[in-house]
Amino acid sequence: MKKTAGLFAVIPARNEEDHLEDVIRETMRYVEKVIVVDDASRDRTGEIAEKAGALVLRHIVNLGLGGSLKTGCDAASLLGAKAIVTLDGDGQHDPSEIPKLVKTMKKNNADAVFGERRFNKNMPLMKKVGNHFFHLYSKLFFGIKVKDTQTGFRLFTAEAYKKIRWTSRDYAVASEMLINAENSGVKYVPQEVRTIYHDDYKGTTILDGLKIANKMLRIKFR
Amino acid sequence: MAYTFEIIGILFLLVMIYLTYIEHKKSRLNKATFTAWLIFWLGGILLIIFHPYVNSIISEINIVRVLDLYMIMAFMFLFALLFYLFVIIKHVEKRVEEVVRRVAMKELILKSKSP
Repeated sequence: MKKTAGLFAVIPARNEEDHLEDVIRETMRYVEKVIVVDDASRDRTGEIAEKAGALVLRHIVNLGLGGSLKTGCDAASLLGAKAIVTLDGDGQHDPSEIPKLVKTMKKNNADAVFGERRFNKNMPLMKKVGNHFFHLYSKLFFGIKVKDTQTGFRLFTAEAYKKIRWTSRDYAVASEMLINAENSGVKYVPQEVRTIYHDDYKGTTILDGLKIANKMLRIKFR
Repeated sequence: MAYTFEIIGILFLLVMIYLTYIEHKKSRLNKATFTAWLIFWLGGILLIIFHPYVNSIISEINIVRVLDLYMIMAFMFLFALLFYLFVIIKHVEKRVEEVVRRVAMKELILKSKSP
């Protein structure tokens, strides 16, 4: 598969030494450059990422998912990226689907493509409930049409990034990105993506869900 | 004991004056902040010592006891402090984020310059 010119991948990672190498090697087949943001990991995440050929940026203090994505996307913009694809470092996204996102972007002449996971039996029950809740919540308060508001597998142009650049440092980044896209007139389309849940899958907790809902309310009334 | 409240109150405020002094000695509080807190604690001691005189004043504003006045003032002060701390924490969080990102970016620039 040919690499997409000007496409940079941003992978936020914190203590992801188990799956990161495979994710980077696979992602490198489809993008020009892979940027890994090591969010103050206590394991060999940064070292592994560097060996795998990624450009590694290190946070000396843990900033969270939103903070890491922002650092990575800022770096990608600085290095001249035309488009940025974000994916998780725990291997839950399949990098071979990157061309599918690119194709959807071109086909719809969109500024952003947001991955949409299938809410099937593979998805843990609590996650399914939480995603349905956030889908309704986002639709009701912000008119967002995307069914899966929480996935990290997303593609957007560097121009669109300037408009959707977020302030959330935690998991609320996924929702804020969508809200900013909706409010700033960024043309976005959903694209169904596969999700692989590993046994050591970390993900969001109920407390994170409450924080996201709170953050969304604050965005609504800011 | 007739003066239990007064004794406990004064002891507490003396301890607070001592702790404030220690923080000032360690250079964690500058002179102005130290003076402001010292006045605050000393004001509390004066209020306890002269509470019979204060009673006649506060009864004018429908507060029956000096203890009630203390409770009202303490709550007001705590809420104000909570708000102030909230603002400071948000500000510090933002600054830390900026610093962490700047350090990461500096590393990136150094990497891109090296052959």
